[in-house]
Amino acid sequence: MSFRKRSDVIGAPGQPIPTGGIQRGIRGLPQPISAQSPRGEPMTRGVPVSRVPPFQRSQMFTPTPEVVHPGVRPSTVTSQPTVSTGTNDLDKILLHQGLPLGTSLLLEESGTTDFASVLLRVYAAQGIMHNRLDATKAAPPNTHVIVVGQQSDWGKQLPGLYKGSRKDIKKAKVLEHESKLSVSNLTDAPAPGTGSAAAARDLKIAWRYGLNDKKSSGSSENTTYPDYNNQFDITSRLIPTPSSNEISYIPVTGTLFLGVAEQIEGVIRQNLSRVPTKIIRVVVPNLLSPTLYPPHFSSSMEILPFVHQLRALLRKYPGNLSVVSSLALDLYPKHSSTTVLLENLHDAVIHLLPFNQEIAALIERTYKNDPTKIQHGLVNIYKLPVLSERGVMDIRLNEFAFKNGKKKFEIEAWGIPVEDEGEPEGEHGHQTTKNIDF
Amino acid sequence: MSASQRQDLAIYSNGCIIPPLNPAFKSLNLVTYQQGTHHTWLTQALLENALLDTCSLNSDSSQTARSLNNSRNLEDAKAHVVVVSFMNDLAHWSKNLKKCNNLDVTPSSPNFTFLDCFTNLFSKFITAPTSAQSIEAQVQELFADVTQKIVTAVRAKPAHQRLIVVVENLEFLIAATCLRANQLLCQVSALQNIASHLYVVTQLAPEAIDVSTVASSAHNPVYKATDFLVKMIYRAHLVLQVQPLATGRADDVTGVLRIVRGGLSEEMRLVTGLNVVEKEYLYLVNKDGNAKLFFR
Repeated sequence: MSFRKRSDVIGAPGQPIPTGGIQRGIRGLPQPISAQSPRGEPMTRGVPVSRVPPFQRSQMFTPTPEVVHPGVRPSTVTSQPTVSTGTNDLDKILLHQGLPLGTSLLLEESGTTDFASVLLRVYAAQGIMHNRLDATKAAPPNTHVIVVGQQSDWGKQLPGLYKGSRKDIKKAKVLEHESKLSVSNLTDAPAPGTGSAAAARDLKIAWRYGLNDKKSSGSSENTTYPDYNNQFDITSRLIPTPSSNEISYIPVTGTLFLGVAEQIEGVIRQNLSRVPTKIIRVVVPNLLSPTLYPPHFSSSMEILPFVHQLRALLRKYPGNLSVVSSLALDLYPKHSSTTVLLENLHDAVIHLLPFNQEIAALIERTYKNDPTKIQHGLVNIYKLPVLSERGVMDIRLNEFAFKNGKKKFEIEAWGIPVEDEGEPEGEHGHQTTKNIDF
Repeated sequence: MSASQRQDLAIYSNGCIIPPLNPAFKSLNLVTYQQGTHHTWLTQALLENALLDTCSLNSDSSQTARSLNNSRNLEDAKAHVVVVSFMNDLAHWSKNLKKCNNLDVTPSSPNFTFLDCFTNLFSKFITAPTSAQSIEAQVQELFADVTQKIVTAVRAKPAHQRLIVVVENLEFLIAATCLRANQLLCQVSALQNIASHLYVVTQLAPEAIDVSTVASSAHNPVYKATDFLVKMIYRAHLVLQVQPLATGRADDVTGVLRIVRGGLSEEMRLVTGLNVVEKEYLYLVNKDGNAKLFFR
């Protein structure tokens, strides 16, 4: 008889797996779900696949493309197939619960900040997450990201998934450790019947402190499209870094912008020839930034044909392609003819307007006790996909504000903050203290 | 109550939206729109009126039009309509015309032709937008091709049928290439010669229009856009402006439709006896793209 340390994981790599009653007779531990029949055949809902007639098997695995892709859902306004931008609040203000396929979004930003790059990176990271979701099921890759004008370093800075607060991460680690098959876990495992009692006690505590009050909003949507969008943590990095199968970088070094458009179409064709239902996300960060683009590209005769070509590609591949670009308005002011024409060529236009120093200071003063409420700027909507082209007037200025936090980029209704002067310490304050003491 | 006082869309003194055929008169009409107030609903209403003599904006006919389950027949259309677009493809037009006007428009539809100058504009037709030498020839070739296709489409049509041509976002050519406004206006004149009524749909961005820009800056896109627009207004018989409310966004009103006489409206009155009745409407477009007019 051999002995093990309490913390040793049974069945860990490099260790012999014990056979006999110990595995089958473990109480209180989750039993592994077997994907195989007793004869070793792969199972499908309890029936070995080899016993399913071949024609039924082919029917089981050929649903419609929209249903297959985990990152596509119908628009809530027009029922068009729609993909998430990766930012839940941005999806909401676009009204479609995302960006409809075959449309483009232009993110304009005033000032020297670069909040738009957060949105672009999250948009790209969301595509990579969808791609990896199916990769675990040995399905062909379902999403590809094309980045224009950037090097591969850009892809290394994509945010990773948000894993919760420090407390949640700690809890998850404990749970992970407990779920491992170790001697200490076996001895600490509760006897039959005691588990439910402990759970009931936990529930009571949760009820007492209101911890069990789950928000009902959005729960039905999450169950219908569970993998539609994720929450990202901008302080973490997507691991592993996207490979060349997941992301392509198109340089802007040619003499004519049209060459860039041709390269983009080449990548799209290449991807769709392998998987026709693939979703392609095109990201154009810092459009016409002098640090990335040669000076002659900023001529309207260069940039407008390029964006026109992108629009033509969107209409050519309406079920596969979406484009998000960003433009610095300090370089190309809102009322310049180039910006006006660029806006006309895009299907959606959102403007990020960070607060100036005075307003930022006022907000910081107002929310000094609750820094999570501090907003960073305004979000103006100039165009919405599909609806604006139908003639719907949806220009909304100074109605929304954004704040960029570790766990998400939030957009909420904007209201001028009211500076609280603070209540003078009067009789009420003293009375309360006295009552408590009493 | 006179026709001009009705809440329906009526543009001319006889209450019509598109004038009847007059061999001695070919009209040039300008439709301008701004960001936030897209022209789609108005252009679609014009197309519907040209084809079937109805207008979904008018309260009485709209119910009839929308209540029909089957698409309306274009065989007996009152005119042949050609749409030339530099900004959208056929799918955009067919989807919206089907949804709002119950018109089933396909490449094989009778009395309707769509000429796509959008999808392959810079990959096939205009390959050197910065070259002043080749751009004029390329644009000329493009419009010769458009004209040829229009002539071919209407060759077998009866002489009494009107030919309505709608050109969308033609002005994009002068912004995206080194083409000058006068060169483009020559092509507009060529189209006007073959069409009974030509509608040029263009974006009017107040920020990109500056009448004080001097002629010496010939390659300045603001100057070129201003030059084109001002000359078009002077040459037009009718100007339809779709613009937002001056007071900003409202839930119950989308914008304002202004009907204004163009520079040559007097010529039209002398030849045809028809007058443009200048007026303003308020309009509301819902999320499905259906519009409703209100007299202002």
